[in-house]
Amino acid sequence: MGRDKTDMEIVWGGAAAFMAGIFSSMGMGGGGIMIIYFGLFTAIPQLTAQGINVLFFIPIAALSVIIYHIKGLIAWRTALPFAVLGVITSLAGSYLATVIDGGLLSKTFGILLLIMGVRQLFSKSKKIEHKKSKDK
Amino acid sequence: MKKCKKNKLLTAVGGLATGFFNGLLGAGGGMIAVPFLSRTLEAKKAHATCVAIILPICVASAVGYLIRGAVAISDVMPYVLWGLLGAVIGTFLLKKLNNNIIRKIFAVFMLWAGIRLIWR
Repeated sequence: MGRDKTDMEIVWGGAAAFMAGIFSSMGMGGGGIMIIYFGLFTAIPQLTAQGINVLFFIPIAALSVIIYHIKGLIAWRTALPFAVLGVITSLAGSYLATVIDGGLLSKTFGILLLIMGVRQLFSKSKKIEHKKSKDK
Repeated sequence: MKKCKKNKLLTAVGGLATGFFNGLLGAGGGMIAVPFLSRTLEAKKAHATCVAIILPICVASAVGYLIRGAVAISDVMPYVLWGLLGAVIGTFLLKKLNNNIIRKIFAVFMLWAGIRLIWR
């Protein structure tokens, strides 16, 4: 953003990026970490934080997709139609983000975090996975 | 036949919602996509497939943000290497997806951050 970063900002920014990389590649909503870091600990505006986050995720996702593809973990037939529709609406979403107020965007993101947090807190992925592996 | 139609409809709804919210909020698409994918895929595959879906969605969102001048490529450079390092570790941790404690701690962290962002 054209301003000098302090040493602490560089250290904490690197730590946030490292954690975000771990959680993002696990599909656990790690993208939130970068925006939370920018929103709560820096003066970077919400919209810029979101822009950094989507850019940040591209190389990480690309690397993860290569690794998962090699391991045969990606269901491409499911992914393709899902992604095509998502790409179309993401353009609409990103346009809307640039025209609405940053404060409102930040609060909406806060609400998303609450929903994600509650979901994750009460998720039963472990049990489901066990049940499915028994079924095989 | 009915089930197939229902699955197609759910894929459509899931795709549309994932893209829109990921574009609007710059994150969170994965959290929307995974429950939809989990209906037909086992947990590990659902998470891996989710990353493959979010990748093109993030590219499209990024184009939207870049065109509108909300962000520049140089803004993200200081974080990319650290993120990639974390991603490599994350892909291996996925093998241990049963790591419920980490998921719960992360959930509490998200709740705390959500509350702070709403009421600051």
